[in-house]
Amino acid sequence: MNNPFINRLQQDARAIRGLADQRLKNMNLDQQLSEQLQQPQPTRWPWAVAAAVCLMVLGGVLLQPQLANQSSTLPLNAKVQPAMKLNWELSTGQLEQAINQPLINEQQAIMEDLKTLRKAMLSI
Amino acid sequence: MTEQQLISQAQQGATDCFSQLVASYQSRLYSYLLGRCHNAFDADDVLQETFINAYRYLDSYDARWQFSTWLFTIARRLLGQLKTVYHVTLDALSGREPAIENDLLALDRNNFWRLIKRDVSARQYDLLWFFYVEQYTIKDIAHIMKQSESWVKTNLHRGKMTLSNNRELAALLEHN
Repeated sequence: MNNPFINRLQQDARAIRGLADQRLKNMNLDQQLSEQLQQPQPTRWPWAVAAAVCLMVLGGVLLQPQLANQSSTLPLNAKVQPAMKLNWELSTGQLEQAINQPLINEQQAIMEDLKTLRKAMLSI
Repeated sequence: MTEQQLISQAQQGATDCFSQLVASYQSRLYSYLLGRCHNAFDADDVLQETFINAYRYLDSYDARWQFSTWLFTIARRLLGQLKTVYHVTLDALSGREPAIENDLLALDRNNFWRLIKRDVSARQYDLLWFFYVEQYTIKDIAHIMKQSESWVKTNLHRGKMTLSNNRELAALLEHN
């Protein structure tokens, strides 16, 4: 950038500064600042403690029914689980058998055919 | 009393010493903010908040750097928060036009800084202001903007190129 450009930037910045000075005279910044600074600064630690207590209470309220449920249902689960496992194993066995049955039937039919074919061959 | 003495007295709670520091820097800071903010009310708020933050966190001031650079750093951070909290939350989300429109620089329509603000990013505006008006070194600007010196050099060059190619500014300059 050339010098006239830079000069113009600085000149216009001075114009803004004049405006700023004019406004600052009416603003009474010093008084406003001292009023703001005299106000007690909000401290964060009481809020942090309150939030921690709320979380603990909320956690307790939410966890207690779950723990109670678990303790009441635990023996029942222990009894039910093997039966469920047995049922499951049984049902999977049945399913496997249902799937394999046509293959077994076909295998037996082929064996029968082979036997009759062997007999026929031997009779010749 | 020297500036360093004023700062150390203010750090020990002497509000009158801090008032002297405010008096020394308020004009420089406010002219930057008036140019940078969308309206004078925002500039007033950021000016106040900058000095309040400076007083509260005076212990964290690093004396290796100029006091003014520290104030500009705080002001820039507050400007970023202002943009997010005020303009985005209230105006953009509600779909309204900005409720307050009091751009003081609109009084002088040919003010270069007012025209520049339309064409360059906020960062480039800051770079140009700090370099040509505040006449900070590249190192100081990098410190204020929390960027590397090479970043400052590159973006300053880009800002200058944008201004050099601006026909409106060139025409105004020729007219004068």
